[in-house]
Amino acid sequence: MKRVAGTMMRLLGKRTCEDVVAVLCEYYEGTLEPKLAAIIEKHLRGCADCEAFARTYGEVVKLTGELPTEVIPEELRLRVRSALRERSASRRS
Amino acid sequence: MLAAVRLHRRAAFATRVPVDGGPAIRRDEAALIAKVHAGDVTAFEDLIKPYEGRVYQTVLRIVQNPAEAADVYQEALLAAFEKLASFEAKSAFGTWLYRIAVNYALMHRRATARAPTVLEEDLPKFNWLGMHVRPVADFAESAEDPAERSELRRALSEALALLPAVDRAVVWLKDAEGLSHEEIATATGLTVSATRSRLHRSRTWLRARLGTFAGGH
Repeated sequence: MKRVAGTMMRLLGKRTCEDVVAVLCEYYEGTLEPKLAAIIEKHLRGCADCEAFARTYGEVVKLTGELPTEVIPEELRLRVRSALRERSASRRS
Repeated sequence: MLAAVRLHRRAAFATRVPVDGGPAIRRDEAALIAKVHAGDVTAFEDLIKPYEGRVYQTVLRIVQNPAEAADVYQEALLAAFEKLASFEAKSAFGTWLYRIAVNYALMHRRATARAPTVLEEDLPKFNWLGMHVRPVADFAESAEDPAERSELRRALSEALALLPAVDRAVVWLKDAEGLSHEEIATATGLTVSATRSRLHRSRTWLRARLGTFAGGH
């Protein structure tokens, strides 16, 4: 039943909410074929749930990019350098 | 693009393979690699210097335990040093280094981790017409408040830790480190198609977790 409903929608040039969610990644990357992107945008304008979904999907991406990063501890950098030099010395001997 | 949200990306550090298929590696890196082959270990230290912070961060995100991440990071760099002779410059040096580090981190997780918590019920559900069955929480407005945004970041970090290690690696490499799908595929050993699929599924799941945190779905 779902497949039939989805197919009918596509034949009418529309997309279901499920279709829209499925292509959100490509939509935000701008890699969707222009006609399909236009259909998705039309759906988003008319569907409050999908517009909210798309907006918050984008927020997840932004928030991930804002997560704090740990600076590599200096002690670890020095430890790795020491290990590299040891390994290099053992290769030469 | 409707409601375009500019994807916040840190500058991707991996250089791109030229269109003509020529060497991906930068000239200064090529010179340093030659010096390493000649036995100069300090050249290797210079070679990894631009990448070490972000490679360490990625290992830490995958392994999650700082002490274990330090050990994995060291093992990975020693392995990279040993394997440098086999580096063929088909990918950028940074991507190659990432591949070794991600591989070691994932192997460590496979050996030590409990099963992750990703519940299918958190993924979006659709009825027979393909429409959402539950109202979709819109936390974008609350995310504009600095204090709430900080809480959302904390909740996101906790949710990220619950993803399977490979999916966590894909999300981190794409949305925090800004690597391309092709670079992530090289770094993780997945196909490009698999990285896209895992990325989208993980983002969708993380969105649902934040929605629940914010009081909706």
